[in-house]
Amino acid sequence: MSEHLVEVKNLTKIYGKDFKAVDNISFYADKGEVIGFVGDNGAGKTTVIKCLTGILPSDGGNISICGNPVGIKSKQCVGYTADNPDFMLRLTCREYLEFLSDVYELDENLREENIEKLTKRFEIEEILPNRLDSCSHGTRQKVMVTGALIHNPPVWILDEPMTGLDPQSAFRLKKMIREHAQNGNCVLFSTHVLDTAEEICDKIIIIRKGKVVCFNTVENLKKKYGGLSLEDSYLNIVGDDNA
Amino acid sequence: MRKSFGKIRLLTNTLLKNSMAEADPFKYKSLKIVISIIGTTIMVGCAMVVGYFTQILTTAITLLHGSGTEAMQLILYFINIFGAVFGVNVVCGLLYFSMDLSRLLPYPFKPAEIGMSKCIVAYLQESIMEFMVIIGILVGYMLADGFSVLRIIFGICGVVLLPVLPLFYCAFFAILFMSVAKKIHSIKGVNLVSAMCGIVFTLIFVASLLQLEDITTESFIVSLSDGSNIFLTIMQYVFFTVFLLAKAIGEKSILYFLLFIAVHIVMILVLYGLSTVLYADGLTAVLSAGKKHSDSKIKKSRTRTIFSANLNREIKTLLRTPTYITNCILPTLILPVSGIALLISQKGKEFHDFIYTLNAPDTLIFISVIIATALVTAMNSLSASAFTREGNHADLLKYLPIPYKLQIKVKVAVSMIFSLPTAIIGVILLCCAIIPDNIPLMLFCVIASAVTVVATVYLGILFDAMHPKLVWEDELSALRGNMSTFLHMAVSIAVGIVLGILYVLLGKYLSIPVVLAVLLTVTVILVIYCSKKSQKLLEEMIV
Repeated sequence: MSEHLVEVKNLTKIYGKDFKAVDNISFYADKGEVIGFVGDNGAGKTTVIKCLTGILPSDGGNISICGNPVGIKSKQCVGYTADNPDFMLRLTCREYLEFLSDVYELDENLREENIEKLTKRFEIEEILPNRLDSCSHGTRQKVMVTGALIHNPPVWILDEPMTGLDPQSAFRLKKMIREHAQNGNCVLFSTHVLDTAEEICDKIIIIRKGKVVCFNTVENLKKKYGGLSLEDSYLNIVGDDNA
Repeated sequence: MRKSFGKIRLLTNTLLKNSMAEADPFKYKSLKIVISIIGTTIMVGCAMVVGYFTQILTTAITLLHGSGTEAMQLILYFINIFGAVFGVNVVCGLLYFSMDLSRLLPYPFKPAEIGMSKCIVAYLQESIMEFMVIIGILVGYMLADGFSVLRIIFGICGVVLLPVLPLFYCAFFAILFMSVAKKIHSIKGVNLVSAMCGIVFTLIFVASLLQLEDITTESFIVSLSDGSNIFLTIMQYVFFTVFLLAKAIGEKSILYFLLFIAVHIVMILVLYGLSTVLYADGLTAVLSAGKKHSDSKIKKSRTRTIFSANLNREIKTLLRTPTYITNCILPTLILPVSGIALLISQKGKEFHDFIYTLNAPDTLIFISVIIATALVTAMNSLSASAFTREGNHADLLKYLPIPYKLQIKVKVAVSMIFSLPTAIIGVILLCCAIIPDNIPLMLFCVIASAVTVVATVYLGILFDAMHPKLVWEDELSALRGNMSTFLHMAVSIAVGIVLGILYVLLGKYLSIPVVLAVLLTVTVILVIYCSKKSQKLLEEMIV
């Protein structure tokens, strides 16, 4: 059994006949850690996340989440926020959150408590009776994040979570990510925003053309590859094509 | 297992709540009421017509054979065939290609639970109209052969369960095929399977007609009653639940009824088992397929006017989307294909002779052309989905620096390009088959057909501007359950009924030039009104 909350060994994912979207990737995440996936468009970040969440089966390697291979048990441990909040749009926000509470088998008291706590945090209590399709992109995203945390999952996976969020909500989400990790859980998220990654991540995984180019703490990255910021180090690693 | 059923129920309820809620709440309450009334009238009307037809056919078979459920069976087989042919698309789409799948997979559902929920959703979405028609058929049969408590109980269960078998076939073969072949990576391949199913069933029915020495209604009824009809014999095996229910109702047999129920329980268990074992495989293959990228060089194109650039975009979208090809473009060929079929079969003369035994035959032909053109133009949904087709990207109607008037002109032009030539060619071919010597009437018919296309297209544009369905997952769901296309079709049917009544009441007194003049006047008014109103609606449209 794995000691890490999330452990990925030699993960490979092939699309179609021979397109290796993810090529022999390995990494792990422990309790209390926030891990950021960074990389250019099409690097394979979302594919890794999809393999972790069970959306896509892997074509090689092993994934272990809370000691379980990808399956029902691992999914019980994961809270997932996709990059696009357009899901179940004709449900009301409350109906959506209640649906997820039932999926994760929360009892009625806990469900109410969590909905109240989380919606207050994002200041979306007022919109609970509204249908998701009547909400703005940012509000939908907040509802999706609330849904992902409804069962207080040990592993929280987010795909481009900051997209469409207003500054206060982005700030609050970053705070929640950190707090979630501090409470003994781990958070993995993909982002293009290097400042955000630098601000909240303990470790960074740089993915390029399906391979892990670098898996290290932000500080070590800066030391090893130079630069004052993560952006500088990143550009040193992958090269600045436009420079 | 119990827990699994609980999860299936939870997911089914949620998916149904999500899919059956109004896509875009109505802006005008009166429009909702009108649509509800028209929809109910059409559904009840269809059920009554089918029921009446069943009653007449059952009475005819009873006269020949003493008693018989063959008429009921025949129509129920057609219902099942429609269920299977159209269900292939829906079931495959929901099981393998719907966008919510990648959002459901991260949740702790077993693939079988997702698969079963999707099948139940497909059954409920597809069967509402079927329920009404099956009620009509069963009531028609019982009106001819007598009611009894047992028959009513069996009938109620039959209404609920008869649509299951076609969808079971669709799901069974979809799961089996997708997991074994792993070749179909888009809904395009499924459309082909659906079309092939339709062709096979049509061929079987045609074979049952060709087996008759003389193709007449009488000989067909005799073939049904004496059990020699190939179509009925084959269908009794293919859609065996219809046969079991017919036996149960016809013979008031509890044994057949229990067998009918047992078969459905077995189907559900088989589907659950199959989903457990194979559904994940097929789903994985679809999700891991990736997208094809074209290696061909991009051709440079000339600079175009705003109008032609937009027209080009619309036409390319229509021609490159299989759903639009099958649902919007192919239906425009109904009139030409009918014309060609009539010319090849040389049945035009028989039609001619039959029509000319009726009251005011020229007027009848003229009015029929108007009705057929209106129905085909409305059926193709090209105009009534003009704004709907923009979907999530409808905001481009607003932000592109193109006057709304011009945008409406483009939408009209696209509908005309596909609807007008096919309607005119179709009418010419039909006229050549039925009234080859009557050139003046042919000319009137062609003009009337063209004018009807214009009127119908403008009406469709107006309806879609009033209530576009801009939130949809795939093109099929944009066209299905779309109130604009429904209203367009309903109004066309209503106009057809009014014209039919006018012909029956005033046939002798209706002068073709006068009718054409009225049609022209109405069309001009419609064009002016619909253009202005659609423009205003487009300005106010919230995207």
